[in-house]
Amino acid sequence: MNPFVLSCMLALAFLLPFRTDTATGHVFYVSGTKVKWNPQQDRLDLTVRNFTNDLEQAIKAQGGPELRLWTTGQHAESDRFVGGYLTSRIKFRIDGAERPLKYVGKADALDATACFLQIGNVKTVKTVEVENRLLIDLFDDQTNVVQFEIGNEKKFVNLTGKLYRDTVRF
Amino acid sequence: MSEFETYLRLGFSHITDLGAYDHIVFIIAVCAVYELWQWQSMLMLVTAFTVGHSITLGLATAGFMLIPTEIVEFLIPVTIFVTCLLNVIKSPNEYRRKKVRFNYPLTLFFGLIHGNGFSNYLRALLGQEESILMPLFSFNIGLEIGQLMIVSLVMAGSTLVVYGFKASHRSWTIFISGAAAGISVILMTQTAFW
Repeated sequence: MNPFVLSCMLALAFLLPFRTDTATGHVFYVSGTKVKWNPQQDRLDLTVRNFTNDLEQAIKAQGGPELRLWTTGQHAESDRFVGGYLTSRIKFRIDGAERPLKYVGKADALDATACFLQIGNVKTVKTVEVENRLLIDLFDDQTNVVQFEIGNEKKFVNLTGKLYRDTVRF
Repeated sequence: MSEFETYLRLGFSHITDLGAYDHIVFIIAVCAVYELWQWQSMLMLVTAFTVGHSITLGLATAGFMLIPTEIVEFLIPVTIFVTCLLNVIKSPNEYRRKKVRFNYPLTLFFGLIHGNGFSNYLRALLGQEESILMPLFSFNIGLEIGQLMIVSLVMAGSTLVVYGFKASHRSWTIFISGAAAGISVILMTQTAFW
Protein backbone atom coordinates (compact mmCIF):
# COMPACT_ATOMS: atom_id res chain seq x y z
CA MET A 1 0.00 0.00 0.00
CA ASN A 2 1.09 3.55 -0.69
CA PRO A 3 2.83 4.86 2.48
CA PHE A 4 0.91 8.14 2.24
CA VAL A 5 -2.42 6.32 2.37
CA LEU A 6 -1.09 4.09 5.13
CA SER A 7 -0.03 6.91 7.45
CA CYS A 8 -3.23 8.76 6.63
CA MET A 9 -5.24 5.75 7.78
CA LEU A 10 -3.09 5.29 10.88
CA ALA A 11 -3.70 8.87 11.97
CA LEU A 12 -7.43 8.42 11.37
CA ALA A 13 -7.55 5.24 13.39
CA PHE A 14 -5.73 6.78 16.35
CA LEU A 15 -7.28 10.19 16.41
CA LEU A 16 -10.88 9.67 15.37
CA PRO A 17 -12.03 8.85 18.92
CA PHE A 18 -10.66 12.17 20.20
CA ARG A 19 -13.05 14.88 19.29
CA THR A 20 -11.63 18.31 19.97
CA ASP A 21 -13.02 21.71 20.74
CA THR A 22 -12.36 22.80 17.19
CA ALA A 23 -15.92 22.01 16.24
CA THR A 24 -17.26 24.71 18.56
CA GLY A 25 -16.00 27.46 16.28
CA HIS A 26 -13.05 28.64 18.31
CA VAL A 27 -10.35 26.86 20.10
CA PHE A 28 -8.78 29.10 22.68
CA TYR A 29 -10.56 30.48 25.70
CA VAL A 30 -10.30 34.13 26.47
CA SER A 31 -12.28 37.11 27.71
CA GLY A 32 -11.36 40.77 27.62
CA THR A 33 -12.30 43.36 30.22
CA LYS A 34 -11.61 47.04 29.74
CA VAL A 35 -11.69 49.28 32.81
CA LYS A 36 -11.72 52.99 32.13
CA TRP A 37 -11.86 55.74 34.70
CA ASN A 38 -14.30 58.52 33.92
CA PRO A 39 -13.21 61.37 36.25
CA GLN A 40 -16.06 63.69 35.14
CA GLN A 41 -18.63 61.21 36.47
CA ASP A 42 -16.40 59.80 39.26
CA ARG A 43 -16.98 56.39 37.79
CA LEU A 44 -15.19 53.30 36.48
CA ASP A 45 -16.71 52.05 33.22
CA LEU A 46 -16.20 48.39 32.43
CA THR A 47 -16.67 46.58 29.15
CA VAL A 48 -16.47 42.80 29.49
CA ARG A 49 -16.24 40.75 26.31
CA ASN A 50 -16.86 37.03 26.22
CA PHE A 51 -17.53 34.64 23.41
CA THR A 52 -21.33 34.40 23.42
CA ASN A 53 -21.41 30.60 23.42
CA ASP A 54 -19.00 30.48 26.39
CA LEU A 55 -21.11 32.91 28.37
CA GLU A 56 -24.30 30.95 27.65
CA GLN A 57 -22.59 27.70 28.60
CA ALA A 58 -21.29 29.16 31.88
CA ILE A 59 -24.73 30.38 32.93
CA LYS A 60 -26.28 27.04 32.04
CA ALA A 61 -23.58 25.19 34.00
CA GLN A 62 -24.65 27.17 37.09
CA GLY A 63 -28.21 25.94 36.72
CA GLY A 64 -29.43 28.85 34.59
CA PRO A 65 -31.62 28.62 31.50
CA GLU A 66 -30.68 28.48 27.79
CA LEU A 67 -30.30 32.18 27.02
CA ARG A 68 -30.10 31.96 23.20
CA LEU A 69 -28.59 35.46 23.13
CA TRP A 70 -29.00 37.55 20.00
CA THR A 71 -31.60 35.25 18.50
CA THR A 72 -35.33 35.82 18.16
CA GLY A 73 -35.81 33.30 20.95
CA GLN A 74 -33.63 35.18 23.48
CA HIS A 75 -34.61 34.51 27.08
CA ALA A 76 -36.74 37.37 28.45
CA GLU A 77 -34.61 37.68 31.59
CA SER A 78 -31.24 37.21 29.92
CA ASP A 79 -29.95 40.51 31.32
CA ARG A 80 -30.67 39.37 34.86
CA PHE A 81 -28.73 36.13 34.35
CA VAL A 82 -25.81 37.73 32.49
CA GLY A 83 -25.57 40.56 35.05
CA GLY A 84 -25.78 38.08 37.93
CA TYR A 85 -23.04 35.90 36.47
CA LEU A 86 -20.65 38.77 35.78
CA THR A 87 -21.10 40.50 39.11
CA SER A 88 -20.56 37.22 40.96
CA ARG A 89 -17.37 36.44 39.06
CA ILE A 90 -15.71 39.86 38.90
CA LYS A 91 -14.72 41.73 42.08
CA PHE A 92 -12.97 45.05 42.57
CA ARG A 93 -11.27 46.55 45.59
CA ILE A 94 -10.31 50.14 45.00
CA ASP A 95 -7.84 51.65 47.46
CA GLY A 96 -8.58 48.87 49.91
CA ALA A 97 -12.38 48.88 49.84
CA GLU A 98 -14.54 46.38 47.98
CA ARG A 99 -16.77 48.20 45.53
CA PRO A 100 -20.04 46.88 44.10
CA LEU A 101 -20.45 46.47 40.34
CA LYS A 102 -23.57 47.62 38.58
CA TYR A 103 -24.63 45.83 35.41
CA VAL A 104 -25.84 48.33 32.80
CA GLY A 105 -26.46 46.32 29.63
CA LYS A 106 -25.02 44.31 26.80
CA ALA A 107 -24.41 44.49 23.07
CA ASP A 108 -23.89 41.95 20.30
CA ALA A 109 -20.32 41.98 19.01
CA LEU A 110 -20.42 39.24 16.34
CA ASP A 111 -19.25 36.03 18.03
CA ALA A 112 -18.80 37.88 21.29
CA THR A 113 -21.12 39.65 23.72
CA ALA A 114 -19.94 42.95 25.16
CA CYS A 115 -21.36 43.69 28.61
CA PHE A 116 -21.27 47.08 30.28
CA LEU A 117 -20.81 47.55 34.01
CA GLN A 118 -20.07 50.49 36.27
CA ILE A 119 -18.55 51.24 39.65
CA GLY A 120 -19.85 54.53 41.01
CA ASN A 121 -18.36 57.14 43.33
CA VAL A 122 -14.73 56.59 42.35
CA LYS A 123 -12.92 59.88 43.00
CA THR A 124 -9.34 58.61 43.00
CA VAL A 125 -7.71 55.42 41.83
CA LYS A 126 -4.36 54.45 43.34
CA THR A 127 -4.49 50.70 43.84
CA VAL A 128 -6.98 48.34 42.30
CA GLU A 129 -7.28 44.71 43.29
CA VAL A 130 -9.13 42.87 40.57
CA GLU A 131 -10.50 39.36 40.77
CA ASN A 132 -11.80 37.74 37.59
CA ARG A 133 -13.13 34.19 37.79
CA LEU A 134 -15.05 34.21 34.50
CA LEU A 135 -15.27 30.76 32.90
CA ILE A 136 -12.29 29.34 34.81
CA ASP A 137 -14.29 26.42 36.19
CA LEU A 138 -15.44 25.56 32.67
CA PHE A 139 -12.18 25.75 30.73
CA ASP A 140 -8.75 24.85 32.09
CA ASP A 141 -6.92 27.21 29.78
CA GLN A 142 -9.22 30.21 30.16
CA THR A 143 -7.34 33.53 30.13
CA ASN A 144 -9.08 36.70 31.29
CA VAL A 145 -7.31 39.83 30.15
CA VAL A 146 -8.02 43.00 32.14
CA GLN A 147 -6.99 46.31 30.63
CA PHE A 148 -6.94 49.46 32.76
CA GLU A 149 -7.05 53.00 31.44
CA ILE A 150 -6.66 55.30 34.42
CA GLY A 151 -5.81 58.85 33.36
CA ASN A 152 -2.98 58.51 30.88
CA GLU A 153 -1.83 55.17 32.23
CA LYS A 154 -2.61 51.92 30.47
CA LYS A 155 -1.95 48.66 32.32
CA PHE A 156 -2.72 45.03 31.60
CA VAL A 157 -3.09 41.88 33.65
CA ASN A 158 -3.63 38.35 32.34
CA LEU A 159 -5.66 36.34 34.84
CA THR A 160 -6.14 32.58 34.74
CA GLY A 161 -7.68 29.79 36.79
CA LYS A 162 -4.50 29.58 38.85
CA LEU A 163 -3.98 33.30 39.24
CA TYR A 164 -7.38 34.95 39.18
CA ARG A 165 -6.59 37.97 41.34
CA ASP A 166 -3.99 40.69 40.96
CA THR A 167 -3.26 44.19 42.21
CA VAL A 168 -2.41 47.13 39.97
CA ARG A 169 -0.98 50.45 41.18
CA PHE A 170 -1.30 53.83 39.49
CA MET B 1 2.34 43.95 32.08
CA SER B 2 2.56 46.05 28.95
CA GLU B 3 0.12 45.93 26.06
CA PHE B 4 2.86 44.48 23.83
CA GLU B 5 3.69 41.67 26.25
CA THR B 6 0.01 40.87 26.90
CA TYR B 7 -0.84 40.31 23.24
CA LEU B 8 2.50 38.70 22.44
CA ARG B 9 1.84 36.08 25.11
CA LEU B 10 -1.69 35.55 23.82
CA GLY B 11 -0.45 35.09 20.24
CA PHE B 12 2.24 32.68 21.34
CA SER B 13 -0.05 30.59 23.50
CA HIS B 14 -2.73 30.63 20.81
CA ILE B 15 -0.53 29.03 18.18
CA THR B 16 1.23 26.62 20.53
CA ASP B 17 -1.95 25.53 22.36
CA LEU B 18 -2.25 21.77 21.91
CA GLY B 19 -6.02 22.01 22.22
CA ALA B 20 -6.02 24.09 19.04
CA TYR B 21 -3.72 21.98 16.95
CA ASP B 22 -5.07 22.85 13.50
CA HIS B 23 -2.53 25.67 13.00
CA ILE B 24 0.27 23.50 14.39
CA VAL B 25 -0.53 20.68 11.98
CA PHE B 26 -0.56 23.15 9.10
CA ILE B 27 2.92 24.43 9.97
CA ILE B 28 4.18 20.85 10.31
CA ALA B 29 2.75 19.99 6.89
CA VAL B 30 4.34 23.06 5.30
CA CYS B 31 7.76 22.12 6.71
CA ALA B 32 7.59 18.41 5.95
CA VAL B 33 9.23 18.77 2.52
CA TYR B 34 12.25 20.69 3.78
CA GLU B 35 15.55 19.70 5.28
CA LEU B 36 17.52 21.69 7.82
CA TRP B 37 19.78 23.32 5.22
CA GLN B 38 16.68 24.82 3.55
CA TRP B 39 15.91 26.89 6.64
CA GLN B 40 15.80 30.08 4.59
CA SER B 41 12.96 28.74 2.46
CA MET B 42 11.09 27.74 5.58
CA LEU B 43 11.60 31.10 7.21
CA MET B 44 10.20 32.73 4.06
CA LEU B 45 7.23 30.38 4.03
CA VAL B 46 6.34 30.89 7.66
CA THR B 47 6.62 34.63 7.10
CA ALA B 48 4.37 34.37 4.00
CA PHE B 49 1.86 32.57 6.20
CA THR B 50 2.14 35.32 8.83
CA VAL B 51 1.69 38.04 6.19
CA GLY B 52 -1.42 36.22 4.95
CA HIS B 53 -3.05 35.89 8.32
CA SER B 54 -2.04 39.40 9.39
CA ILE B 55 -4.00 40.79 6.44
CA THR B 56 -7.23 38.99 7.27
CA LEU B 57 -6.71 39.43 11.00
CA GLY B 58 -6.41 43.17 10.47
CA LEU B 59 -9.41 43.37 8.18
CA ALA B 60 -11.60 41.19 10.34
CA THR B 61 -10.64 42.89 13.60
CA ALA B 62 -11.40 46.22 11.96
CA GLY B 63 -14.92 44.94 11.44
CA PHE B 64 -14.91 43.51 7.94
CA MET B 65 -16.57 40.16 8.12
CA LEU B 66 -14.84 38.10 5.48
CA ILE B 67 -15.95 34.49 5.71
CA PRO B 68 -18.41 33.12 8.29
CA THR B 69 -16.73 31.31 11.20
CA GLU B 70 -18.19 27.88 10.47
CA ILE B 71 -16.86 27.94 6.89
CA VAL B 72 -13.40 29.10 8.06
CA GLU B 73 -13.21 26.30 10.61
CA PHE B 74 -13.85 23.85 7.78
CA LEU B 75 -11.46 25.51 5.32
CA ILE B 76 -8.51 25.38 7.76
CA PRO B 77 -8.24 21.55 7.63
CA VAL B 78 -8.77 21.77 3.85
CA THR B 79 -5.61 23.91 3.61
CA ILE B 80 -3.75 21.24 5.62
CA PHE B 81 -4.99 18.47 3.36
CA VAL B 82 -4.06 20.31 0.15
CA THR B 83 -0.57 21.08 1.52
CA CYS B 84 -0.05 17.41 2.42
CA LEU B 85 -1.26 16.22 -0.95
CA LEU B 86 1.09 18.61 -2.76
CA ASN B 87 3.98 17.43 -0.55
CA VAL B 88 3.41 13.94 -1.86
CA ILE B 89 2.45 14.45 -5.52
CA LYS B 90 4.99 17.16 -6.33
CA SER B 91 8.57 16.14 -6.85
CA PRO B 92 10.94 17.24 -4.05
CA ASN B 93 12.98 19.08 -6.69
CA GLU B 94 10.14 21.50 -7.26
CA TYR B 95 10.56 22.73 -3.70
CA ARG B 96 14.29 23.18 -4.23
CA ARG B 97 14.24 25.28 -7.36
CA LYS B 98 15.16 28.87 -6.81
CA LYS B 99 12.57 30.40 -9.09
CA VAL B 100 9.46 28.23 -9.17
CA ARG B 101 8.10 28.51 -5.71
CA PHE B 102 4.43 27.87 -6.18
CA ASN B 103 4.05 27.19 -2.48
CA TYR B 104 4.84 30.77 -1.41
CA PRO B 105 1.70 32.38 -2.85
CA LEU B 106 -0.27 29.29 -1.84
CA THR B 107 0.91 29.50 1.78
CA LEU B 108 0.16 33.22 1.79
CA PHE B 109 -3.33 32.46 0.52
CA PHE B 110 -3.77 29.77 3.18
CA GLY B 111 -2.58 32.33 5.71
CA LEU B 112 -5.53 34.51 4.66
CA ILE B 113 -7.87 31.66 5.62
CA HIS B 114 -6.18 30.92 8.95
CA GLY B 115 -6.26 34.64 9.75
CA ASN B 116 -10.03 34.47 9.77
CA GLY B 117 -9.77 31.90 12.51
CA PHE B 118 -7.40 34.03 14.60
CA SER B 119 -9.58 37.08 14.13
CA ASN B 120 -12.61 35.54 15.81
CA TYR B 121 -10.40 35.13 18.82
CA LEU B 122 -8.91 38.60 18.86
CA ARG B 123 -12.24 40.24 18.19
CA ALA B 124 -13.63 38.84 21.41
CA LEU B 125 -11.01 40.89 23.22
CA LEU B 126 -11.03 44.12 21.28
CA GLY B 127 -13.92 46.39 20.66
CA GLN B 128 -14.16 48.07 17.31
CA GLU B 129 -13.60 51.46 18.87
CA GLU B 130 -10.15 50.42 20.04
CA SER B 131 -6.93 51.09 18.21
CA ILE B 132 -6.10 47.64 16.91
CA LEU B 133 -2.62 48.30 15.58
CA MET B 134 -0.58 47.54 18.69
CA PRO B 135 -2.55 44.48 19.85
CA LEU B 136 -2.52 43.10 16.31
CA PHE B 137 1.18 43.69 15.84
CA SER B 138 2.16 42.10 19.15
CA PHE B 139 -0.28 39.22 18.68
CA ASN B 140 1.31 38.45 15.31
CA ILE B 141 4.84 38.60 16.69
CA GLY B 142 3.70 36.08 19.31
CA LEU B 143 2.24 33.86 16.57
CA GLU B 144 5.44 34.11 14.53
CA ILE B 145 7.64 33.14 17.49
CA GLY B 146 5.36 30.18 18.18
CA GLN B 147 5.48 29.15 14.52
CA LEU B 148 9.26 29.28 14.44
CA MET B 149 9.35 27.12 17.53
CA ILE B 150 7.16 24.53 15.78
CA VAL B 151 9.41 24.70 12.70
CA SER B 152 12.47 24.03 14.89
CA LEU B 153 10.81 20.99 16.42
CA VAL B 154 9.88 19.60 12.99
CA MET B 155 13.46 20.14 11.83
CA ALA B 156 14.80 18.38 14.90
CA GLY B 157 12.51 15.44 14.08
CA SER B 158 13.53 15.30 10.43
CA THR B 159 17.22 15.56 11.28
CA LEU B 160 16.90 12.72 13.76
CA VAL B 161 15.09 10.50 11.26
CA VAL B 162 17.31 11.29 8.28
CA TYR B 163 20.71 11.41 9.96
CA GLY B 164 20.05 9.35 13.08
CA PHE B 165 18.01 6.51 11.60
CA LYS B 166 19.39 6.86 8.06
CA ALA B 167 15.92 7.01 6.53
CA SER B 168 15.41 8.90 3.29
CA HIS B 169 14.05 12.42 3.63
CA ARG B 170 11.35 11.51 1.14
CA SER B 171 10.06 8.85 3.57
CA TRP B 172 9.91 11.46 6.32
CA THR B 173 7.94 13.82 4.04
CA ILE B 174 5.45 11.11 3.14
CA PHE B 175 5.09 9.88 6.71
CA ILE B 176 4.47 13.35 8.16
CA SER B 177 2.21 14.43 5.31
CA GLY B 178 0.15 11.26 5.62
CA ALA B 179 -0.32 11.72 9.34
CA ALA B 180 -1.20 15.41 8.93
CA ALA B 181 -3.62 14.60 6.10
CA GLY B 182 -5.32 12.05 8.34
CA ILE B 183 -5.72 14.62 11.11
CA SER B 184 -7.11 17.13 8.63
CA VAL B 185 -9.75 14.63 7.49
CA ILE B 186 -10.89 14.21 11.11
CA LEU B 187 -11.06 17.97 11.54
CA MET B 188 -13.09 18.26 8.33
CA THR B 189 -15.62 15.73 9.54
CA GLN B 190 -15.94 17.65 12.82
CA THR B 191 -16.27 21.05 11.24
CA ALA B 192 -18.50 20.16 8.25
CA PHE B 193 -20.92 23.08 8.18
CA TRP B 194 -23.66 21.65 6.00
